[in-house]
Amino acid sequence: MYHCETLESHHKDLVHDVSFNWYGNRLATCSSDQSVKIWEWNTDQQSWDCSASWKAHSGSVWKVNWAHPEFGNLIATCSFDRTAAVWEEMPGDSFLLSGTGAPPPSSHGNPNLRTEGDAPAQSHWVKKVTMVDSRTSVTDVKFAPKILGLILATCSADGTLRIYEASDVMNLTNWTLQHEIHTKLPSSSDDATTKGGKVFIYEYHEPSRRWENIETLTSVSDPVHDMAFSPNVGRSFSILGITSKELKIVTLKPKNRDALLSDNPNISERTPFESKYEVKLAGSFNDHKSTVWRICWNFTATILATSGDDGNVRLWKCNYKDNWHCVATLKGDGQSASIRNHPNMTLLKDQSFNNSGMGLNKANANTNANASSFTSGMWK
Amino acid sequence: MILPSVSGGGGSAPPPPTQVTVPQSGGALGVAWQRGNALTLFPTRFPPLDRSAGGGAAGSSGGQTQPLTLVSWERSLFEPVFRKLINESAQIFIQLQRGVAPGCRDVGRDFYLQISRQYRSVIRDCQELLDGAGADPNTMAVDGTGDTPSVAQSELLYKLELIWNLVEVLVIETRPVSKNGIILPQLVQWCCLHFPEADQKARHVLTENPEQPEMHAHFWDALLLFLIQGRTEQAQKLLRLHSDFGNTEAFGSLDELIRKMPRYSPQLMMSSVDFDFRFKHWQKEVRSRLDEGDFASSHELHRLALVLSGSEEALSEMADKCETWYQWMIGKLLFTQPDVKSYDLSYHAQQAINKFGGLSGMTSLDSILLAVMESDIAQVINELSSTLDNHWFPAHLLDLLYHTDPSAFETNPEDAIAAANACGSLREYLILEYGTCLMSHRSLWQVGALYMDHCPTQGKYRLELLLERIPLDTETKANKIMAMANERGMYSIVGSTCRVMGMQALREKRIGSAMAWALRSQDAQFTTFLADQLLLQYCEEGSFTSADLLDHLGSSMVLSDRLTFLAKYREFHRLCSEEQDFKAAASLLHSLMWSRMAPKYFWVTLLIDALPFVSCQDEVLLSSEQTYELLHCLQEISKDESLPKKQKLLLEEHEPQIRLELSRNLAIALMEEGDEQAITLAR
Amino acid sequence: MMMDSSRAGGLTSCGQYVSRKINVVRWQPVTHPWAQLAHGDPDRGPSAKHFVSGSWDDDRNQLQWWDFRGSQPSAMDDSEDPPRSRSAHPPQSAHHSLQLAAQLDVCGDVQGIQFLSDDTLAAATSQGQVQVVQAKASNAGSGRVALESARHWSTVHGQRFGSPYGCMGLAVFEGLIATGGQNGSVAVLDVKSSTPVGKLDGVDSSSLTDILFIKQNSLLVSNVRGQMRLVDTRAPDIKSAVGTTYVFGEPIRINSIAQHASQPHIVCSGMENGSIAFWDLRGQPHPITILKGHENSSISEVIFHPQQPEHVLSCSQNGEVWHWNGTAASRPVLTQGTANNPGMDNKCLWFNNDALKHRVNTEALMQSQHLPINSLDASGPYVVVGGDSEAIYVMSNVIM
Repeated sequence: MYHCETLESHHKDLVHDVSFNWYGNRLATCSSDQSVKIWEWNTDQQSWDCSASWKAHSGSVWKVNWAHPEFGNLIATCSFDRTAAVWEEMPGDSFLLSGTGAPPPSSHGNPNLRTEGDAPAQSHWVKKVTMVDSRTSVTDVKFAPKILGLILATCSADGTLRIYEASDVMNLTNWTLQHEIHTKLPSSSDDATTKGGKVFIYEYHEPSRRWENIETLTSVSDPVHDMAFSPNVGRSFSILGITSKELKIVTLKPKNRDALLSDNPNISERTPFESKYEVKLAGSFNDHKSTVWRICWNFTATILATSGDDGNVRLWKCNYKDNWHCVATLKGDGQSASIRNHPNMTLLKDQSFNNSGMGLNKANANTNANASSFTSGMWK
Repeated sequence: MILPSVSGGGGSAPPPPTQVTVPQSGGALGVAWQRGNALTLFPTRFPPLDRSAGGGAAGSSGGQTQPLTLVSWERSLFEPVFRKLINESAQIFIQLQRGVAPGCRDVGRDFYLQISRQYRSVIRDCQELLDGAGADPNTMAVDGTGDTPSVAQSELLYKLELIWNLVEVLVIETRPVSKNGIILPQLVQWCCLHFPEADQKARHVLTENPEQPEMHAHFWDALLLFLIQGRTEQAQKLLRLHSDFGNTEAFGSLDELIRKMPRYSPQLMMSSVDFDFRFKHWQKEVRSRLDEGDFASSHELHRLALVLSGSEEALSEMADKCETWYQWMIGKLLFTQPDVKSYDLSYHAQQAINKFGGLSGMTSLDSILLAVMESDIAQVINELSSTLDNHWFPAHLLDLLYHTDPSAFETNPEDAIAAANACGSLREYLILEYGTCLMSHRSLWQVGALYMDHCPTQGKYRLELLLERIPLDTETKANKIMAMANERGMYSIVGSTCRVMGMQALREKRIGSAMAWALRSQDAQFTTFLADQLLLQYCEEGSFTSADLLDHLGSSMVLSDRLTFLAKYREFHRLCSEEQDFKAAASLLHSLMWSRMAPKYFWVTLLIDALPFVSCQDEVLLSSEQTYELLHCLQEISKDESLPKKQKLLLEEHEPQIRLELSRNLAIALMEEGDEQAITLAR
Repeated sequence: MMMDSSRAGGLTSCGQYVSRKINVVRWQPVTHPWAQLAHGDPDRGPSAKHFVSGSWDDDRNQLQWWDFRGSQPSAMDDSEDPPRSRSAHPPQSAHHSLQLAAQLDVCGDVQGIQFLSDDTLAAATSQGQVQVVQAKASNAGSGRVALESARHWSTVHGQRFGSPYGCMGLAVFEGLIATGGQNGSVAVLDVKSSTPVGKLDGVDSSSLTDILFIKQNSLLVSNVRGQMRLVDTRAPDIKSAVGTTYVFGEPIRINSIAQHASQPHIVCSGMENGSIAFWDLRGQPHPITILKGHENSSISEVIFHPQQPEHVLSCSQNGEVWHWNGTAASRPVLTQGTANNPGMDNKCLWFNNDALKHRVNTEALMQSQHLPINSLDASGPYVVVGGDSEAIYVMSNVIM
């Protein structure tokens, strides 16, 4: 049973990204209206309340991403204005939001630029740093898994991938550009991968302190729009989801350790055919029957969501026999949500716990003989 | 509902994807995951395009709203009315796992039966709760929602219990004992339990027409239903109420036949062959009485006798009176093949289904019951999973079956081990799904964690992923999460939780509290940072905010050098103010600096602290060597370019005085030490 | 041996799933002597006892008022809804019944409940709210009651960025209520006044965990680092308010502190490592004796039995409820010539290391639960416990 609720974002233009924080109780949205909004789950009211909204960039904001809460309340944004930025929620009563409000203490942020019609904001986000290294639109931004420390990766329209590190996790104004990788292909990706005509996989090589291209996936030759590694859930291999003309799921299994040791220890001197990983295509799916634009894993790495040009979001799941298949399709009903205010459920499959199944009611067990239906019968 | 595709024994294809429409414009949809079974959809454009580049103003979508749709699933269990079901079944689940844990004495069929009955009882309780929610103010109050009890949900639970009961009868109760044993008595009992129609009709007859019950439309139906449920005593009782009973021979004859009908009972220690012989003998008698025209006087009696005789025709006619194919099947078997074996059940079930309109007319309840009769457990679970919103039922059922008889998973297991493995992985899959669902609930996450503990392959990883994302609303909750993580050796979660809580305290400027969290997880880096914060605060304000903490650090001070220094510095203060041991205080001060335990930025403060000791008139508190070393430190710090501005200014202000006093002390100390030396030498 | 003879009735228990995680349970104080109920006349039928529970970690948390009817086997026929007896847990004894009588929504997790009088209680929550709640008969004769909030105070410990600091513990003394805050502050409230009568900030630099009234103006607070502190509520400033600090030795969280009913200077504390420490507030600032238990699992709550302080009860996060019976240890003083041992009679048995080691009987009151037991309370022969498995159990004949 699917339950749907509508939340009006009050963005003045298209929303490009929505991102939940680590705990799923806060939400960040970014839009072509150049603003970012933060939403809080209100337990008492059982609703999402906007707690902050500010103009974050001077161009469309493409992506927004949360850091692990260990580092505080941080988000990163990237924009058409060729910059990426890290924002921190600042405590303190310096932001009385009664209207005239005291000016914020920071010279960077500009939280006074609240758009009208929003619920009064309650928190205050300060820009800690702006990454200005890109000469083209910054198309993606993502924090590294927390185990690697406070590291941020960005990639730009010109195919450059940059990795920044906060030298001191307690001082967020100081970030150093650690690595710059030119893929020579326009990119907009995440993790340590870039995309373009092909998929390259990079790995950090400790001795050379560089990110090395360890793998180029030959199985993908169409333009790639998005990709995502599955979170590490104790599998012995990594799963990479790639979207292009269709959805591809690739597994990367580290090769036998002994074989690796007997190998030339200097990885950079390997021939391109000597890979550390055994790469296998686990599945290739054209259910969208059109270009697939976005891919995203749930954090238990059990369900994959993809967005396609067919206007559908599809959910994919791996059964206990390790086969991937589409388990659900979510599609807009073609109506603008603004004219509808019944945020209720629609369900086309089983109503199970809600079924109004006939027959076999213990109280009234003598209706028609055949109608011992379990569900409404529509799934058969 | 995300359906696990479980390929059944027959290798059926995965079910087609669920179709869901959401209130959205119908254009391109972006997607973002939330924690648990929830995601957000938003209208967007692929590829992204910057409209502000041209005019700056909002483009074509100006004025349109930008709604987000939050979609979630597997939520039906989160209704308050199911809380009891969830907690109670968790208790039973744990009881089962403890019972089968290695090292425990072998548990037998009775144990599994008992567990199975407990589960069923939980389902029935929940059903009662749903039924009675309106009537009973007490339960109403407990649930407090004021929602009308859902008849549909109650019905569903009823059906689930029906399925569970059949599985219990056919798999748990029967199978381990006698794979080829007689199963009909159990099936009959199952049927009686769930189809009270005969009783209802009999009651109608007796209340509405007590004088002449046979005039009631349901009289003969009730009689027939009693018979095909094997309830001979009730049938006899009803029959004797007929006004003609005792007047007509035929009634007495039928009554006698019913009384003599052989019943199989395991208690009688009757062999299957023996029973078969007696049953055939009895039916022969029925037929001979029919042939002799005993029942010619009454059409109804004749028909009943035909049923007793096992007449195909009569039994076929009887189908009209039966509500379901399985009711009919069981009734028919009772008079045609009372010693039916479980492996033959599949055939009879198919026959019955054909009689009732074939597979196409079947619902999922029918398919599941058929699969149970076919002993195709994989198919049962597959059907259940694709029908239900959540995995509560299939997870608990399969878990029990797995422990009872893992080989029951496949219909004809050529390889019992492979079958058991498949059953094991499916069991884990379902339990993980169910546990994951619970862990996305605000309150039930602890219950969910219990289930993960019993998934040998992936449980620990899954639990770790889920546990570290439980919102740390309160300290109580953080403590619970840490206790849970500690118990299971998930120390990274303990560390991470302390970090997050500590960072939050730090944001609130409660450094002492942050320090307590850092110390708890032995986080040296964070501790050092916080110790620095306290020192800086001291530099600013001249007093410590967390003195109570620093004074009782005990062994935890060794976690970080900076913290050690901080504690020692506090000790210095105590030596001065409380114990007035200035000699010890001065030495401590010197050693803190000379050992370089003190951070550079704090040296200025320490040097100023040293002033009273070197300007002391009565006593030399610092030796010449110590004083010399302090002068050395002064020299070093005054050349240090990296010193914070505030410290620098402070140093500039006090440097001449410090230098002067230190030099003076050096002179006095040298003199005094010289004297002492002279005295020693003189002696 | 003594224990066996006194335990004629045998321990019985009754449990009920309540669909809420329970954080606190408290018996209503009885004005009549409890013994009347325990050894009551069977012919008079079961008489009801009442307790209050508070839930935590839910979208809506509640205080709930329960009727418990415990009776001798012979006098149990009029219970209108006899609980089903089944093999499934929790056990429902046929002679007991547990019924919800009233409830009241509260804001945040219930962190502490104490009765101010027979029908009035104070409750504190993780949202920094303290309420005085009155139980009133809703209509005569029906036996039902209604819970009404008589007074409440919000954000008693202040707030940060719009969200209030939580209360971690609650204590009452006549008309006074004191709570210990998550931010280390102490708030003192008077039932008669809607404004707090005292607020002490910075009693502790970390979180407080529990609080007790030692006397009218003196509070004892415990913290997360194994310390307890005396706080004088009359003092003009925080510096002079904070008195002696009692140190456990290891920096282990003290989850619960409890006071001896007749000797207010005797205090015990339930530690995170599963031990119970006994302290003499008039003596040295260290525990006098330490009992280890609960398989090192964190103790959620520990209490002295209110009428018989030679019994201590504790519950823990690993789902155990323990009864520490010191009856045997409290007597043998008499065997040595009493004349030579002046003062020995006054010495608390819980301070006698030797006696504790050898003569305290410990007993698990129920099968270990799969989830934490968060709270317990005792009244006469009855013990009530509640926890995260969303069940409440009432045990009878625990102490005879």
